[in-house]
Amino acid sequence: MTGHRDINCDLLVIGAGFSGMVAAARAASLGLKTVLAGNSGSLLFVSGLLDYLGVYPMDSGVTLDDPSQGLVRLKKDLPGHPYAVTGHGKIIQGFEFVKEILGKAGFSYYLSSQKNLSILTSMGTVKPSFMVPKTMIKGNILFKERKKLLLIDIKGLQGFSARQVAAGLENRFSEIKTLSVEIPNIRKAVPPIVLAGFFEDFEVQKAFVNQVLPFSDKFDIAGMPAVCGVNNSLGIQQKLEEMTGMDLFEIPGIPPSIPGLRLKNAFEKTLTASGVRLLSNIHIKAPVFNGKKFTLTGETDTRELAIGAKGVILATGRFPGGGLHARRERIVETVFRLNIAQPVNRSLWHGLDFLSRQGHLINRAGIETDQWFRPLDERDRPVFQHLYAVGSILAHNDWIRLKSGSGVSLVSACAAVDSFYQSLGKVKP
Amino acid sequence: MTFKILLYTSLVLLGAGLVYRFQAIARKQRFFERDRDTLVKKIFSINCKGFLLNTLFQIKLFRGGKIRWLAHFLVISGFIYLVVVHALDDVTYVMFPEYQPTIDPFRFLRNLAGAGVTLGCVLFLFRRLTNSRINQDHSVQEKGFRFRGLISIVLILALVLSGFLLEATNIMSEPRFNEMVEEYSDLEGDDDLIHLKVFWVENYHVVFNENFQPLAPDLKIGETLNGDYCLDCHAKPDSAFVSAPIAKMSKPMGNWLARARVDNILYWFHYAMILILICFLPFSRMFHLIAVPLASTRKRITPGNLKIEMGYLDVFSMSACTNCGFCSEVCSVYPNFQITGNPETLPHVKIDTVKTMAGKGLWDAKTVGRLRSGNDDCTLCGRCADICPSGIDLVRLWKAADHLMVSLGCQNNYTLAKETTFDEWSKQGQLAGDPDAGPSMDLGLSDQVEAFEHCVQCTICTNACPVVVHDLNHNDFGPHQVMNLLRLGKKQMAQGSRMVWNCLTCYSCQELCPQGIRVTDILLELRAGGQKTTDRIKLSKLNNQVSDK
Repeated sequence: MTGHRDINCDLLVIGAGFSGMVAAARAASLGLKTVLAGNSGSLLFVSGLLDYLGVYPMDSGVTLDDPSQGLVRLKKDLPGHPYAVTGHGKIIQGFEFVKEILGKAGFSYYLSSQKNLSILTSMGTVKPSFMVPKTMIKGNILFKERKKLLLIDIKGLQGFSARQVAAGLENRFSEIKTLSVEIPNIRKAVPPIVLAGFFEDFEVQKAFVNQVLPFSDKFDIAGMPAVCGVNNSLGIQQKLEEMTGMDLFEIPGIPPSIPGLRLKNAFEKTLTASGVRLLSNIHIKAPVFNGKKFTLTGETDTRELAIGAKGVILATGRFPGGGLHARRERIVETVFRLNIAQPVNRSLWHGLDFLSRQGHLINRAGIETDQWFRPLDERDRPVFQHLYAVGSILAHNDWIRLKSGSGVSLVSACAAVDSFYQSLGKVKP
Repeated sequence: MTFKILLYTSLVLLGAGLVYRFQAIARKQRFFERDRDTLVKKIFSINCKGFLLNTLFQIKLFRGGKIRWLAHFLVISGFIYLVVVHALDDVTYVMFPEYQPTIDPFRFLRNLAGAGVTLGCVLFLFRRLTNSRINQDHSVQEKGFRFRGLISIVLILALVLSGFLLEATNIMSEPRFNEMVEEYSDLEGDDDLIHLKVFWVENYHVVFNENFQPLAPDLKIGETLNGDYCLDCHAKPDSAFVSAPIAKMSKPMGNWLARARVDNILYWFHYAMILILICFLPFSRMFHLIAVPLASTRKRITPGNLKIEMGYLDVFSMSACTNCGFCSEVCSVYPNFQITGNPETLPHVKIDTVKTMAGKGLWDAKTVGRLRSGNDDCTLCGRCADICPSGIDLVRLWKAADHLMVSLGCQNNYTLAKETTFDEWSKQGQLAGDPDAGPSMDLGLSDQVEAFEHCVQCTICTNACPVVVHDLNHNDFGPHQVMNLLRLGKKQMAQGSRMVWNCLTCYSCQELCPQGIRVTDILLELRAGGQKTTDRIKLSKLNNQVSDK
């Protein structure tokens, strides 16, 4: 199996979700010849908020004020957690790296210095997060200074109701008012991304501003759905602020998410610019290792590509992403058939209480790795010298309940790429 | 003298034929403006670069397929050489005073050119006899493209092969030898003649009806005589690397051939072939020799000149089509053909039907319906026009064909689908398919639950869809809702939905689908299925009209 290869590269990243994107960007920044294979459409499921650690311990029921304090306890309690091998410094470096590359691609983020930010969501809840798009940051300071809040929704936009948001915020503001804005030419429903596209049009901006202006004197700040354009969202938002004369912030909503699309576009822009080859709509299978290099087959609708790589990063995600697959009795990893740390039988996958704060054991199933994020076999030895697993597929990581998804993804991606780079005998520039 | 008369008659016929063809074509050229057709008045911009490159080097053919290009190149370069140097040798004499058909390099080059033409023609024939993927399908085979233009190939082959045989019999011919000796030598006495004959038997492969004993002194004297009288015009024939071996092989028949004066018969045959080819040119496949360079002068449609040139039905360009099938090999909607089995989806079939429609008219309702469906399937992506070796701007043609059909009262399927009530639609959709239109692919994606069952209705496809944006207030279903219709088993409804008929096949939805569902492929397939339903609706309307009368 050392024959023909259609593509040769240093590093193949399988999976184009958040962790795959970060891994590919990191590899490209180190000068590695990188191929990213996967379906980046799943980024439209993410909110665009990048969390560090929002809750610890899991059953505490309150959000963490300072994630680094939670991290100290987490390291003690969960030595198998991805954070346990990285530490606070590396996590912050990871956030800074992501902030920098996204900023270069025109998507500006605000990185908190130490404390979690409290971000209002379209459900009317408040979510702890650590790095958020600049268009959302003005929503953070809400609760300290009891301001007068105007909540705006758009007629025809489904999945976002100002009244619903307001209902979750009872008594936390001195005054809350909801406003439904009509956008010309929208008579029926409008899909959110289509609406975001409309907001790039000056006529639509004017119509929006004209309906908000009457309230600008009476309210301190206004929240609106995250539809301020797909490209240049910050610029559009600042323009709207200028025209209305009041502070605005975007409220992240349900999928399909526009901040997610912005994230996807920004990543793809920076990856393309730095020479990463993107293979979308491709199914990676049949890995073979010949002692030196991996050869994998990439299957599209029409053809098969043989891809040769010195190293492989597995960023295939969990069940929705297709990285894990639940068979009747066992959970399996789909590309390399790696060993999955999981409950001994199916009856232990889930507890009895559906919304239990403890979560379910299946949420912590995943790949166990060494300190360089290399997957381990049954006898705790790395399966391959240059195979790494990053992101949500990692074991002991209930990222949904700990509100730590992006942080785990970006720190594991950066650490895995760095250690691959060093193991090639190269020194970090 | 007879030759001259025949030649000039053929040339007059050729001229008349060309005038007739051009006139017939010019009469059919039309320009459509908002579905009203007018005669062409405009002079269009000329594409000089395309004309030169495609005429001189057949550059588009080269990009399309190297073997086919090679076959063309061999035939055309060989033929041009033969026409200029060999057929028009009166002119050649003037240009090269030392020209003689039987000295080198002319004899060698003639054989080389002839061999090239033969090889090219054999490649053409081979390609015709072995079916390409495109022509394998039964419905395409019915159209009989395999036999189109076969006559031209056979004529050319007959011309060149008779030339080789003629040269071979000339080499061997005793009467010819005697004629030449009589005309060009002042040999006296039979001895010298015998010496010369013996020398020619040995070196020039002539076959005499006598038995000589080749003796050393004879040959010496023969060589001298040869040098005196013959060598100026007659090199040894071995450089004729095709004819000379034929002559050598047929030596045993030499005497018989000479007595029957087969050389003269072949001479007439050879001459007849070229005359037939000349007369036949405007009406055979060879017309593309003229049509292709002219079609290549047409500027391609660009967004800039779109409005001016879009409705122009260019019958002349159409006549440059050789049904080579390159276009169908790259056709974006080839999958539709696989689903519907409608050959009029394929450009190389469709152009033929359009030609008939624009020319003598198309009277078969079924074919009209198929052409309509086939042309409606076209996404105007332009891949066919990019590859067309004849340089036909096919995109313009498909658009013009659309206008032509509308002007003839043939409603497009899109309008029909829009105007058909859902009841009527599902009634026709549920009828058992007629055997002609039977699917060539048994189970499509929309019949396989695995193809769409993973849809989580996240609406990303609908968000990404440019049709949804454009048609925001009128579109009935987004792609995600079409997927849901399939999950509910409502394939008929899905096939009739506006979304399916408006889909641009831009693949934005499929590219973005987090579940990896082939959304666009499914929409395309649904539309292809819908085309069949519209065909049935049209036919049932026709039947109703007939029964009303």
